[in-house]
Amino acid sequence: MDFDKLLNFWGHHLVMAGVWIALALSLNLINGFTGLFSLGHQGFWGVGAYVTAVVLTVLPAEMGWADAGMLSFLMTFPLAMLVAALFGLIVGVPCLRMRGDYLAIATLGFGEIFRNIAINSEWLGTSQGLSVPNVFRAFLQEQIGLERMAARRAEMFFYIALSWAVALLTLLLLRNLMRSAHGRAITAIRDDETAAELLGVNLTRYKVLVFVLGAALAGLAGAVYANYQRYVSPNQFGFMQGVIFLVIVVMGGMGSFSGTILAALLIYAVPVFLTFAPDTWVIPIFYDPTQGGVVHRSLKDLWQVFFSLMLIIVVLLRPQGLMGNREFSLVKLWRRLFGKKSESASTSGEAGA
Amino acid sequence: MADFFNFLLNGLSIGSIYALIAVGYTMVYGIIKLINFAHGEFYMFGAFVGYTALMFAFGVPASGGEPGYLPLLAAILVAGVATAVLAVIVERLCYRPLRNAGRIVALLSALGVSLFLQNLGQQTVSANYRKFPPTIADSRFPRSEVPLDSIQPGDIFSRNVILTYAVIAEDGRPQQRSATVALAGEPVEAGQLAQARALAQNSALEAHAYSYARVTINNKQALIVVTLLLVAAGLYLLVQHTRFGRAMRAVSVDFEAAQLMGVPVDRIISGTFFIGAFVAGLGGVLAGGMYYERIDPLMGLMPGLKAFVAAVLGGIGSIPGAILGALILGMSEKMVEAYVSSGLRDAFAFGILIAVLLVKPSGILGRFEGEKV
Amino acid sequence: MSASASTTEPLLAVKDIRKTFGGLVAVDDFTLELAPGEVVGLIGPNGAGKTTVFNLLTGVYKPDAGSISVRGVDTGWLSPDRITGLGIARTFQNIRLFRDMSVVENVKVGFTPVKRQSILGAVFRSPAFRHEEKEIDREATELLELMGLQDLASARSASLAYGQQRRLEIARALASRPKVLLLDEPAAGANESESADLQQLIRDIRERFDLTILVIEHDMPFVMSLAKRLLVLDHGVTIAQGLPETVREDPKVIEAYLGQEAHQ
Repeated sequence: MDFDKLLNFWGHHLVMAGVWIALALSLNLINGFTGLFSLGHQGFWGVGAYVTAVVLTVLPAEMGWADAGMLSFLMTFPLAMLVAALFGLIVGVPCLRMRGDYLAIATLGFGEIFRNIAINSEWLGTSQGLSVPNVFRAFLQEQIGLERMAARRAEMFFYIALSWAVALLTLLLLRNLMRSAHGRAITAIRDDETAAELLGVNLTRYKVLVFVLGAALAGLAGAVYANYQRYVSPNQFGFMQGVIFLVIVVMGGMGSFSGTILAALLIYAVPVFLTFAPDTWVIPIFYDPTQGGVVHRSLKDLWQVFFSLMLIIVVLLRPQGLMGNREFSLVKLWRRLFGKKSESASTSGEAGA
Repeated sequence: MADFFNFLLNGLSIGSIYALIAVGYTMVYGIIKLINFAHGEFYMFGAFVGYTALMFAFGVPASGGEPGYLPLLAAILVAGVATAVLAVIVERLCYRPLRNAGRIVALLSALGVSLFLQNLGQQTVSANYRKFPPTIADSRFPRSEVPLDSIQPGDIFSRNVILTYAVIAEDGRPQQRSATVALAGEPVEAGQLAQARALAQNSALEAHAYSYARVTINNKQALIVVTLLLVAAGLYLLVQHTRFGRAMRAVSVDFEAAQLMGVPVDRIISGTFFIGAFVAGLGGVLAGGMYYERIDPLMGLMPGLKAFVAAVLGGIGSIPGAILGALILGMSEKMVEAYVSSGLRDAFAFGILIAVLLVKPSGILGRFEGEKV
Repeated sequence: MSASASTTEPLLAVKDIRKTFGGLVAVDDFTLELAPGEVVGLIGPNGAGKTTVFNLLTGVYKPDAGSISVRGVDTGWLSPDRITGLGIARTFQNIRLFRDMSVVENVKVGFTPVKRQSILGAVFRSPAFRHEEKEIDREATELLELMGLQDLASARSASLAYGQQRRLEIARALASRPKVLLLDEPAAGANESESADLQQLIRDIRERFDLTILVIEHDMPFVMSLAKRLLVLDHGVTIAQGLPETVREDPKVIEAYLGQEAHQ
């Protein structure tokens, strides 16, 4: 098969998988590690993406600047983080006073307000969205002097590296944070908010910190996404998209980094691989005379149905997520599969008193 | 000023739609403290059952004749019961096992059910909009009939005179249309009158010309409001004056105490889901079906969220609160749409939600529960 | 008020605090001064408002009237974490450990008011951060050794036996280096020998950390041998206070409380 076709197909999915991992990890900080239940993460992601579009498209046009250059491109990342963090603050501060399910609904409300404002703002391109110029490729072609084909390949490799670097950065940052006094305070809040406060943990400070940091990291992922996709529109950041990230966090385990990464990869990859299923692999699913009798659907179509069913089943069988708050480790897996009984008991974390 | 009252009536009917969904939300929250995210999907499901019933059982599209109240009533009842049964099954399978697992876990399950019903709908009945079969003819009140023959060119009417007629649509069924005969305060033009007479002559159903009051309400909207009143009265009697209602209140005040006192808690919860979903299902037929005449698998999402906002606004757990909150939300949304910006309607609704949660989380009529240490 | 309080400034001064819940008076005109080094017992029948007093002292509830000051600072509208920072720590009647965390991590959370880490330092693993973590590690291990829990350091806290969980709560409270320690029924569920060990332990930590202790306890011999002064609450009202021997003789106390328990 043609190298460029392969690169385009797999490259795209690699970039997106990296973005998903970064988003799921930052959502896990809020929902999993801290136990705040946010349904608005897609909003922070969207803010980051829109900041990118505004910096590269709207501002140059409105202000009559020259076309966005490499400097603007590089600025989109910190700016997206900064503005998203600001939104995290705006959402986080009032939401502190709410608990559990009320918080969930309020963050959902914030996410929808953001989308609604984008839809109604001429400046933000209404429901049509905004396109983002391909600054990086222009740079490769004009400044570096690459040919068109070479520039396209280089661009794809760049975005694969960038999105996975952002995912890695998110992982390291959150992992280090969680392995410190701050991480212990955050876990304590999740386990027992009142007891944590009585041990001197400042609830306000940590909840705001978690919202701001989670939002900033989602904003960074948004900047990567907007620059790569070169298009932002309100529908990309809808409630349903947020639910997918939430499902990743739930399935991966509220408070497990490796679980989140595995779940993000799995949930991203399954529908991609299902597109390879032959067209003849269809399942009769419904009888509807208004659609001409028996309705057939492919496996890829049914993935969404299966996915939501899986969410229900996981929640029913393992409310703490597939991994719980444990981390996946090949060594432990090896011991568990092939080790002696006593060893596997001691690694299961259930050491008795 | 007349515009204002028209908007208000319009908002009242939209609020009534929210209210039909919101009562179920609030009843379920009141009794098991669960935000049943799938409740909007019950509304959607009801609309589709009503659609199926009208299309295939009561032969409305096949008959091609004048639609009527009886098939609509039958469709509402079938949809209500089917939705209620679905809700009882969902509660039994997806919520009951999680009753002691914490609110967030149950909320996740509800989210899963909501997604499942939406996605299953998209893959079975397809994601496309479909037109709901005609139910009852559209009309507005108050109005008075002006016999078309009595109108002469040059006559001046103090109100608009509108002709209601029908044409045969592509699907072979009569479809209602309207045309202006005369504008208020302006002499009737001969050409326009002749055209109206021709339309009336060729009308598929009987044609009438009416002069309308400045402030009018649509008969379908009125039907929704009346249904809400009936539902509210029924729920009041049920909750205040039946054994079931007493048990329901007991469970909502103290779940464990009620259980110890021998209240059949499981059956009461099933019953609550049944009633809440029955009302949402009939709301789906009335609102999505009869009124908007457009249904699709995602139609429950927004009304469901709005109904939740309404329930919170009124004080979640309180049935009168949910109805009051829904009516206030519907009317204020309409005002925002009319006088501020139609696009910002949803942002406004969610803004209300956040404001209520911040300022008075117990809502207008609710009571707030503190936490025990 | 009491003789010991007049010589030094009280660590904890509570004046006429009152708390009602929906018309029900839980604590009425409660007054208490704790002098440095004192051990005071707070007793009374179930529902007398003892735990409510603890919740008021630590800021979980705010008093409807009256004032509380810790080491001269009025706690008025301070949040519980700030009050803890003033040097007051507590345990809970119904144990509230962080169940998902290990034993040693539970203790480490206790260091929050005294060991500040910068977030950037934590994220970038700065030398100062690593030094600080080592110190926390060492001190947490010391506290666990003191409580005899060192072998269970990496066990999940929820897997501990009841008495061990109570001792872990004390270790966790000590981590914040409090001046005043509030113990809510530390001997609940303990048998006679465990109770004796616990008495010794409490005396030890009082010496070692220079603590002032307020203890709620139902086990009368336990509290009588530990505390030099007792306060008796009944229906939110302080019905008696003073030396254990005098309180024991007080007819009001016998009626309200000891009457039920005397034949134990």
